[in-house]
Amino acid sequence: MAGTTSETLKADLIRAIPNMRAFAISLCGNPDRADDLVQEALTKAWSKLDTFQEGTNLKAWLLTILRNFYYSEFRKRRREVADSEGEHAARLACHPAQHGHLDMAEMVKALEELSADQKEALLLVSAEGFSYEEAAEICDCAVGTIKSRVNRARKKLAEIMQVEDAHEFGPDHVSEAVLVPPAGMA
Amino acid sequence: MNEDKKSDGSARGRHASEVGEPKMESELHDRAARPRIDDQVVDAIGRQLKASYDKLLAEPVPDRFLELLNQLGEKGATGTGDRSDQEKK
Repeated sequence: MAGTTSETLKADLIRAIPNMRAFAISLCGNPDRADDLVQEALTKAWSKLDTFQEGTNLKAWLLTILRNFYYSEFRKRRREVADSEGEHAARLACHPAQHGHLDMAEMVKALEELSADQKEALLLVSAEGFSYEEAAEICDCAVGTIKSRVNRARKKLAEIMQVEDAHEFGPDHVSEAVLVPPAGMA
Repeated sequence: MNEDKKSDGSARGRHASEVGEPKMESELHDRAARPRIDDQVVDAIGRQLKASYDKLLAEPVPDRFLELLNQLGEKGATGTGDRSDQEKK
């Protein structure tokens, strides 16, 4: 009987792995470290699977474990992280054969500008699609705190991306100017 | 001064009509982009984040995780992961 339960749970765990990986990659920016993080979190989750209340959100439960592990590990290796912070996005962009990584690289670069609090709130709500209430439970804080973190994160991200867009749009402005004939020649 | 302003204004008006839409659009674009982050930009960023994230979600699960779960499953009942680890050693 325990066998069937664990088989069902195992299938559910497997289904949640992409979410754990995506969240881990977005959080720490380093795909290799992210997969180590997922491995540790999965092992931890398995060891306390009996504390999981069936019928509740397994994905939220797993991401909570992953997040808590990330922050305890993060604190331990803070110096190492600070040293390599700028390299995360570059490494992500170079990661072979992972198109998703490549596409996310730009986003991760921008996400690194956010505070850790803002980043995780934004990822949980805007990317994972959790409700504010669920995100608040995962981050162990008030719903209002999550809301304001998400808002600030969105605005900050928009600011960052807009600065980048301004560069991207540069040539367009030039071509527009070329298309516009000087007044005297019209 | 007043006259200056007037002639300036009418000159600009003439420019705009001669020049047509492109200039008007670029002026609008500049105005929208500068003063503050409008909701449209914030929404667009949200969609971009979701799209990038969804691509990450679509990546296949690496074998190492399936193997890990098989290993953990072989160790038996849940909640004894740590202990059976030590027993094996």
